[in-house]
Amino acid sequence: MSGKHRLRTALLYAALTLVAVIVLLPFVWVLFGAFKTQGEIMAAPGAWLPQDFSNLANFAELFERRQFGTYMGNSLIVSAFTVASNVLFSSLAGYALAKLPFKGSKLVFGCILAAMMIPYIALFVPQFFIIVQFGLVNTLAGIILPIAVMPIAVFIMRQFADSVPDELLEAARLDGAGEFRIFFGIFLPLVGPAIATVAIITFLNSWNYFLWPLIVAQDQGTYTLPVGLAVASQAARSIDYGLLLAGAIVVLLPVLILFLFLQKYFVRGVAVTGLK
Amino acid sequence: MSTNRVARRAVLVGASALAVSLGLAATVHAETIDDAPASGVLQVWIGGAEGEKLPSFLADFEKANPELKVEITQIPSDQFDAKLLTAIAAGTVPDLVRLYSQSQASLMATGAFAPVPEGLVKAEDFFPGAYATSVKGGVAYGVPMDAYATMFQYRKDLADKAGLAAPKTWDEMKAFAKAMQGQGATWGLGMDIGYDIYNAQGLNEYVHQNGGGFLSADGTQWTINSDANVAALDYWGSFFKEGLASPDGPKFLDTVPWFTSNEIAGKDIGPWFEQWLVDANGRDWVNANLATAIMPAGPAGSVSALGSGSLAVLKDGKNQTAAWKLVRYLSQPETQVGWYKYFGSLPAVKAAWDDPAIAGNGLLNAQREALQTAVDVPQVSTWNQVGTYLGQQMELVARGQATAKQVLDDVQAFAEGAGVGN
Repeated sequence: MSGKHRLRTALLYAALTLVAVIVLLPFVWVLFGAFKTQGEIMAAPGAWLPQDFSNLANFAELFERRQFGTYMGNSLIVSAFTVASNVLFSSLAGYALAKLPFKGSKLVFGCILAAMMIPYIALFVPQFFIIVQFGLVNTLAGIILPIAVMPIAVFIMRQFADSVPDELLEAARLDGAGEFRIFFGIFLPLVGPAIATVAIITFLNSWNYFLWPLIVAQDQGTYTLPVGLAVASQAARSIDYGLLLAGAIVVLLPVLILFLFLQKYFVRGVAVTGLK
Repeated sequence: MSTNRVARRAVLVGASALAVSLGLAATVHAETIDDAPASGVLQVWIGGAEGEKLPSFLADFEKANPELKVEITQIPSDQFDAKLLTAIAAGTVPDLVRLYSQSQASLMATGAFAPVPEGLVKAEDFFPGAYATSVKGGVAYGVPMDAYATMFQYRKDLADKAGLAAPKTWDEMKAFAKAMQGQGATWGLGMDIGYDIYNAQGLNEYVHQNGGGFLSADGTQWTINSDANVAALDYWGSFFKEGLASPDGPKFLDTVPWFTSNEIAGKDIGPWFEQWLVDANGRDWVNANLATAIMPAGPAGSVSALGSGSLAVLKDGKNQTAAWKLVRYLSQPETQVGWYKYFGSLPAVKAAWDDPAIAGNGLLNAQREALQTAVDVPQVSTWNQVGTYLGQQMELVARGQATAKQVLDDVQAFAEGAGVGN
């Protein structure tokens, strides 16, 4: 490697490191803030580092007194069911729309696209009426149902399904395989990255879901993490920043872990669908 | 505007429209409530940190009412109205809620609340502004639980150095701000600069100090661009024009570092400011450096912005009787003092202020005086829209991009389009 080239690489890395540090600073502040007391956070001028890193009082408060264990359990259930149901139904729908020509399939796909355009807030009150009619108020099922099959997930699966060669499916059909066998045995293994993308998108959506779970829940036993965090961080005419930041870490951690493991699929999914 | 706030507004508008279209008209029927212990299940929704503390505070009440189970659900205060409006529209309401005076008019417009039973409380026991907030057409639909008024809070140490007492008039406030800058403060005062609905709430006190008001006396017409209001906004804007206040800060909790590090030397702010400063700087710093006074008087006197929380019972709730019994309990002076000691909310009941726990805190003297004349925001259901727009437009005055007259003419036209609701 020539000296000039090496210098250019070094400069590039220095610039990238600088930008990375700037981007990461707020997250670091959140992380440090989670170990601070309200007084430390409000103090002027504030210090970057907490006085005591072993101060876990904020985390202890969240889990021991503010029901964060319950909220986390609810969030995990909501997200697990949302991801599973979206992956199953959107891949079925995507396969049918792309590979099984039927009368009106274009219209169905058009309707799904149209559903993506409707702001979620416009559906809010009618959706709540439906949930009330179903008797699902204050249940996790009531929280999950409206996002059990997201139009965006169907769209992604349909786009991916399009790229699966028809010849493969035809060959299987000639060999006498049924549609479900083809779907599970041939189609699904080929669309792994799409499944990962749908899983990540629906997980993020359901994990960060705020207003709807709040409306459906009638007591704190049914709150999910974001709702619980909003409640726990309230202080008298103020905000308890220590609890808010510690709670943010708790909410963020599973997302971060998921992203680290599935990063490869996520990038590939984005590249293929052109969606972020 | 954040997504949450957009979402909240959309839900508010949608749910209000639904509730109104369902024809939930108020029927005035006030029964009396006996003294027997309450029973059954009582569902309470409450926003803010109050919901965290209230369950343990009610231990005595539950002991006195052994057959009663109180279920308290804590709601994020930002979304409280959205949640309650949706519940009202769908008929899934709790028995008792605590409403915020700033936004309760749009909730009251649904007609979902029961009138306060005769003889439950006496109107004259409460600060008049706080009680009036829940009165509609001569009927009370809520009982104040807590109240606060804004005060002029300033750096006592800097004022002492300048040899100044708290300013008592609009002119003195100007002179005070200039003198504070002479003592090393970057800006003499911090003015409200959130440019949101709270900014409009702040202007409401200045217009009343000048004998104006946003609504006509009968509450049916907007009078936003009246001469008195224009003069009041002019006065507010002059602090920026004369370099006595910054149009960029402080905004909210950053008031604490701005106030501590001489960026500002005074602010029109609520009684919670003392505790914020204690949290950040300690009690000794507060004792040495913080003083409070009533708002400097304009031509029409000293007027503060009022905020209050009222307890209201839903007429579709399943246990109204128990709900009113809890309201009565929370309105007793001794309960109000207990709640102040336990949580810090200031009592809406006047007699509670005689207790040494409150009377002994010198910083609260100004608060008590301010509460006598403090004014609430206009109690009409369109205040959310009008106040938000007014707050946004005030930025033009703060930055010298429009005159007070231009801005208020524009907001008046906007408000006439929105109407006063129902």
